[in-house]
Amino acid sequence: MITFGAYFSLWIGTLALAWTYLQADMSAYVWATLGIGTLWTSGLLQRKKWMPGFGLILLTLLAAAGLYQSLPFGWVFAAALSGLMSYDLSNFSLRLRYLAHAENTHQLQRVHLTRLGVMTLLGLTLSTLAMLWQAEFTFEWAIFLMLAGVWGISLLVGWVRQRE
Amino acid sequence: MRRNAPLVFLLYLLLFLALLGMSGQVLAITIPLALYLLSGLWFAPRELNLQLDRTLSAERVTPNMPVIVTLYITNLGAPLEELLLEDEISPALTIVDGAPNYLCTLKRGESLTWKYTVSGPRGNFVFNGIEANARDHFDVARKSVFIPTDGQLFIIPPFTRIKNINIRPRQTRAYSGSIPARIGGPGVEFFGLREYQPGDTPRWINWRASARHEQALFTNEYEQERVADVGIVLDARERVNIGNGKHSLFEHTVIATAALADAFIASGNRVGMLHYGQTLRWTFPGYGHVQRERIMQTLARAEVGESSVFSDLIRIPSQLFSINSQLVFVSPLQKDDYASLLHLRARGYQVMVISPDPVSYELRSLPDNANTRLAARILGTERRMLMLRLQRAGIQALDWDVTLPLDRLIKTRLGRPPAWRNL
Repeated sequence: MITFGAYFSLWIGTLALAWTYLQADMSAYVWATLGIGTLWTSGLLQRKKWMPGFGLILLTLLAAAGLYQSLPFGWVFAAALSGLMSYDLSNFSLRLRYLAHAENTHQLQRVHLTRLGVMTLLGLTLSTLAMLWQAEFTFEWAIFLMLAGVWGISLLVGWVRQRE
Repeated sequence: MRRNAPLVFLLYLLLFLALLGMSGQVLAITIPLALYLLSGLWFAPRELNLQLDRTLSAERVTPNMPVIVTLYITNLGAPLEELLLEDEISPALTIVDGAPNYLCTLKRGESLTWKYTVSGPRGNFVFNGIEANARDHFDVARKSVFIPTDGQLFIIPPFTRIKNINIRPRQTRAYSGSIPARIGGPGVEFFGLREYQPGDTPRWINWRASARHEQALFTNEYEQERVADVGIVLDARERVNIGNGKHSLFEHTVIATAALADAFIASGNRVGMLHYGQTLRWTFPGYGHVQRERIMQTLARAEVGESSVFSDLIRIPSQLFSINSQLVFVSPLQKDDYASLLHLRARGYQVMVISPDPVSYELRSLPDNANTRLAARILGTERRMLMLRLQRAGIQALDWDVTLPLDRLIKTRLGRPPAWRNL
C-alpha cells in the first residue's frame, strides 16, 4: 500500500504540474515534468536510495519555476506537496523492507500515514491562509524574512546535528 | 549524505529564490517542507537505552547446518517510533530464514524477540553486536548506538570417525593405552619369553619352551600397550593447497586432520596440533574431550596462507614435539618436502604422512584433452615416486584421492589388524 501510495502521489504531482504547463502552452516544461516523473519512477523500481531526494528537488524547483511564469498557485502547490508525500512514502517503503513478518506492519503504516496526513493538511491550511492574507511583499519584508529564515533554519539544523 | 540533506537544501534554495524574486507564492511552497522538518525534529528519539541478549541454538555445528540466532531486546529508555536493528554478521554466513535487519516500534519497557537462521562454511564466526538506529516516522532525526553482544559460532570440519590407526612411536607414555610400547608385560600381542618369576600367572607359562629345559620354567611376555604423544601437523601453505574457497584442497586437508585428531584422542593419546601456514599456531598437547574441542576450534579457524619463512617444512619447530614421538603430517606435499620429512625421521620421530592428492583433485576441474592427460601422467608419476621414496625411508605415507572415503582407506592401509587375525 505504501509503495502504491508513493507511485500514486508521484504521478498525481507530476500530472498536475504537466497539466498546468500544458494549459499555459509550455510544451518543453511539460516534457521536463513527465521526464522527472519517469526518472523518479524508474529510480523507485530499481530501489535507488538517492532517487526520492533528487526527484523531490527537481520536481519542486520545476514547480517553483512555474510560479515565476504565473501558473495557477493551486496546481503548482499540489504538485510540490505530492512530490513531498512521494518522497516520504518512497523512503518509508524502502525502510519497510526490513520489517519482519511477525511485526505489526499495519500499525506502523497507520501511524506513519496519519502523521503524513496531518502534516499535509496543516501545510495546506497554512499555505492557504498565507495566500488568503496576501500581505504586500515589500523589500523590507523580504530582508526580514530572509534573516529570520536563515536564523531559524540554522537553529534547526544545529539542533538536528546535536541530537544525532 | 544525511537523509534530510535534500530537504534542507531545497528549503534554503526555495527561500533564496522566493526572496530573490520577491515571490510570496514560492515562499508558501516552503511551508510544508518546513513543517515536515519540524515534525521530524519534534518527534526525534530522545535517548536510546536498549538491553540486548543473544542466544544461538548451537555454538558448534558442521558446515551448512542451520543455526537459529535469537535476540531479546528490551527498551529501557524513552519510546521509540521506529527502531532499525542491524546485526553485524560475517558475509560468509548465509541467511536461511528471517533477516539480520529488523524494523520495529518499541514502547518504554517493551521487549521483543527476534530470530533468524544462518548456516555457513567451516569457520569461526564472532557476533560482535548490533547497530541500533532509532528515528522518527519521517526519518528526519536519528540516534544510533552500537550494542555489543556475546556470541560465537564454530563451524567445525565434518569428518567420519576413524578407528585403530596403526602407529608405533619409539617412546610411549606411562599410562595404559592402545599403542604397542615395545616393552614386555601384560598385553595382547606376544612379545617374548622370560624365566618364570614368583607371582606370574600359571596361564602364561610356556609349557613347550619349559619342556626343553629341566630346571627352568618360562613365561610368555606380552607387549604392553600404552598411550603415546602424537603431534599432528596441518600443512596450511598456500603453495600446496590448490584451489580456493569451498573448492580448495585445503578443506580436505582440514577434514583429514580433524578425523585423525579425533581418532588419536579417542584412543587416549596425548595429541597436539601445529597449524603450519602463514604463521604457526600451536595447540598444546593434551588428552580427552577438552583437547578435542581445542583442536576442533583451531581447525574451524584454520586458513591457508603463504609466508617466505614457512615456505617449506624445514622450518617446523621440532622442539615442540616430544622426543621419539609420533608425528602425523596432513599435507598434499611437494617435492622439496621429502628432505624435511627425512630429517625428522632421522631425529627419531615416527612419521606418518596423509597426503590429499592434488593431481587427481585438479584434474577433475581441467578440460579433458591430450595435454592435460600427459601433464597428469607426469605429475602422477612424480608423486608416486615421492611416496615410494618416503615409504623406503620408513615413513608411513598414504596417498589420498579425496573422492575416496578416508576412513576406509586408513582402515585398509594404515589400520591395525584385529587381534583375532593374529591367532
